[in-house]
Amino acid sequence: MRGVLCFGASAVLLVAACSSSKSSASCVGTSSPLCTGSGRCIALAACATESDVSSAFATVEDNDTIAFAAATYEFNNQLALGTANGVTVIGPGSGRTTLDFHGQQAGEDGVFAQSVNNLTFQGFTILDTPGNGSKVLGVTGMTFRDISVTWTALDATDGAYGLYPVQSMQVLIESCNISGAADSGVYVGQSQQIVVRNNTVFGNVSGIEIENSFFADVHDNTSHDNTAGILVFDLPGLQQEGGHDVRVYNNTIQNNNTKNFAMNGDIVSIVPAGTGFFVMANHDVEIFGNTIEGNQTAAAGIISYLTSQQTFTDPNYYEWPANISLHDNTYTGNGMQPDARSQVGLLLSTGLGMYPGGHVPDVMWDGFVDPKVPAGPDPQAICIHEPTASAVCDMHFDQIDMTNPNVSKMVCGPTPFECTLAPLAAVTWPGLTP
Amino acid sequence: MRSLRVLALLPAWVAVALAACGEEGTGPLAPTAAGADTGGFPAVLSAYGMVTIQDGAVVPNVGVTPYDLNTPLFSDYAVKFRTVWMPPGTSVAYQDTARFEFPVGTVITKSFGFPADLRVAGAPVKWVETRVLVHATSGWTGTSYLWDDAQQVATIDPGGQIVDLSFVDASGQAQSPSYLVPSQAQCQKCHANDGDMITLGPWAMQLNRDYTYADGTDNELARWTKLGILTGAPTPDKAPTLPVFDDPTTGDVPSRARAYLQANCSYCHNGNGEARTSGLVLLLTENDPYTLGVCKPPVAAGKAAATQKYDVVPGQPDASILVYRMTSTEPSVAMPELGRSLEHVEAVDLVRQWITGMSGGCP
Repeated sequence: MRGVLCFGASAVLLVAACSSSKSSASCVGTSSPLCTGSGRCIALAACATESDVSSAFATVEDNDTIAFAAATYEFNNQLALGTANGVTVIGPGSGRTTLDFHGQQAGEDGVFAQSVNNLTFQGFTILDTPGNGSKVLGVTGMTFRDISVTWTALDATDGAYGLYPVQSMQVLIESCNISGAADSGVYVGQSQQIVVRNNTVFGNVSGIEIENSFFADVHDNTSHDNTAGILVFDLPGLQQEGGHDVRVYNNTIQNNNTKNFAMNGDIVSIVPAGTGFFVMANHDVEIFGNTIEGNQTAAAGIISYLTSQQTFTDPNYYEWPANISLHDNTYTGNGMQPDARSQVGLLLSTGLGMYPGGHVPDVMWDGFVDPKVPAGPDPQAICIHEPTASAVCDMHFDQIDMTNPNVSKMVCGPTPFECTLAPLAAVTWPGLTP
Repeated sequence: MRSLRVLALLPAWVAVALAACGEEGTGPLAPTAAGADTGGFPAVLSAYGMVTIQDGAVVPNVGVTPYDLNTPLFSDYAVKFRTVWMPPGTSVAYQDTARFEFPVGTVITKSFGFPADLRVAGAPVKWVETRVLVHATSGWTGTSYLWDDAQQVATIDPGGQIVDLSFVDASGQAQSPSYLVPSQAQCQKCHANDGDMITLGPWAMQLNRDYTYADGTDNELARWTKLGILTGAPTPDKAPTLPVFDDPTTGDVPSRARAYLQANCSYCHNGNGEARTSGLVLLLTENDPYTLGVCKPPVAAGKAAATQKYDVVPGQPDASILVYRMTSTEPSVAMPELGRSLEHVEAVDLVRQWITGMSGGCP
């Protein structure tokens, strides 16, 4: 008898506790046409408060769908997702749902998730995060689809990365639209099995970066009006190193001439405006079928970490590019006016009177050779078959006189780039739609 | 719908409800890991029977042990009151340098409050929240409870929020932190280690210190041993001690700076924490200068890299990203990433001294 009475008293207490909290229950429903999964549907109406949204994110359970309305939601705290698998966070479309972080006071990222499997972010815009738009760490099966990340002011006050999956596996980024990132629009770091396709990235310092990652296909993206279009690189001192098996194909890399607005201490700040793409310290990279057009410093570079002029002590780090295949890309109107605000741009400017065609060679290798590799005609297996390139050149940065830096040691091919490499395999995993 | 779900939550919750009633009649509720294995947190803190607030002070329940740490995490100058409870008959085995593996059912609370004026000893404290870590069978889980204005009821706040506060600091300056009550998901940003939640404070080096209990002063390791909740501990003089960052009698500048970084940074900056992707490790046990940041360029630091090239430049605190990020209160720059909206002036000063005293330089 006492037990029954007590239970009743406790229930009253609970109801009181719920009604006194800041949540607005009528703005959190259980049905939405966007919910198609097997778990609960948490439908956040336009009137949902930050507390409603953050509570829904924090208490998420396996296979839930969190569905936004076509509305703008404002945040002053980072929005972090709890650890549940199979979760979908969905809005009716980028531009229709906006998560506005201009008042964010806590957290380095806008939307954050970690250590889960099979997570999908789809159909919403992330606006004005002080830091990264969305970072996910340690996720297996991450999909970003139709996500827009942008900043109202396109300058150095913007966050570093738009979409930032790191140490993740089976990462799909498709049909997203990223602009204004002060480092990179799409930044995939230390990840494996990656597909980045059908995205548009513009007005960032770099459009797309694949860093310290294995097995990536970057294709059918448009990267325009950034400082640099697409970067594939590897850095020392990290848990996953030795980036390899990266394909970059059928992308449009156009007019990436925006002044570099990255902070000075950021490694990407050394990239000259007007860069199409470059590959640094990766092996087994295949780049083909891209249109590279109107990038005023240079279309394509293949470089060692040495060219970044950074030092390192990491004994496991491999600083050279190797097994790099460039073929069948289309080059038009690149390298006409190297960025005089950057050291590399100034260096390249010194050759303007001697370059074939009068502009910076469309494809350049920095010429640094791994001393441990046996000498030969193509020690690093950098194999280039580019009929539309103005020239393919070994720039011999390894022989530059730093007291009078110029490109007079440059040697243009076809030798030593005539080798051929087998095509790399497509990236796929169970459940990935081709 | 949601409260119905909570009510439907299984026998453990019913037991809590029953126990909660006992509080009204026959005396204080016994501590409990309320609902830990049913996947739900109770709606109010009192369900745990861990702490109450009486006359402006957090008071542990009978059987709940308060403790303090040698060098704690900084949280906008909040005062903190920590407690631990283990189910009767259970205990934790002493570890010299490793984390204590607390028994299933352990509850840890940490209450955060702000005195109106830090210059006034014993000034009234406004308690903002009590965070709870519960060791369920499947591992640790955590959430936070927000105290009401009357300081009588603390109600769960799974989504967290920023609370605007004000107080007068030790130098007489008015401070207005944007104090973060973390969401449940944000708890994991510090407490997750390779995806699993862990405790951060209570380990031997941090607990090897005196505490003034209701019945007198005692070393915490010794007291826990006497209480039977700690087994295998050596006498305190044989146990390691973490220096107190702001007490020069406990260590020289480098050792106190490293103690501070251990307590305030290394929960992320280790090989399994969230900052594992940065390559910067700030554990007390890290000895490689580069991994500690010396002449190490930042990775993915974005605008936090500002104009500095390296995390730590020996002899040059102003050229060190570490100092810049500890000083900044911009959300995308500030470190630690969460829980600090004010500069911890005394700690920044210590870290500056540490870097100033380093010899050498960077390229």
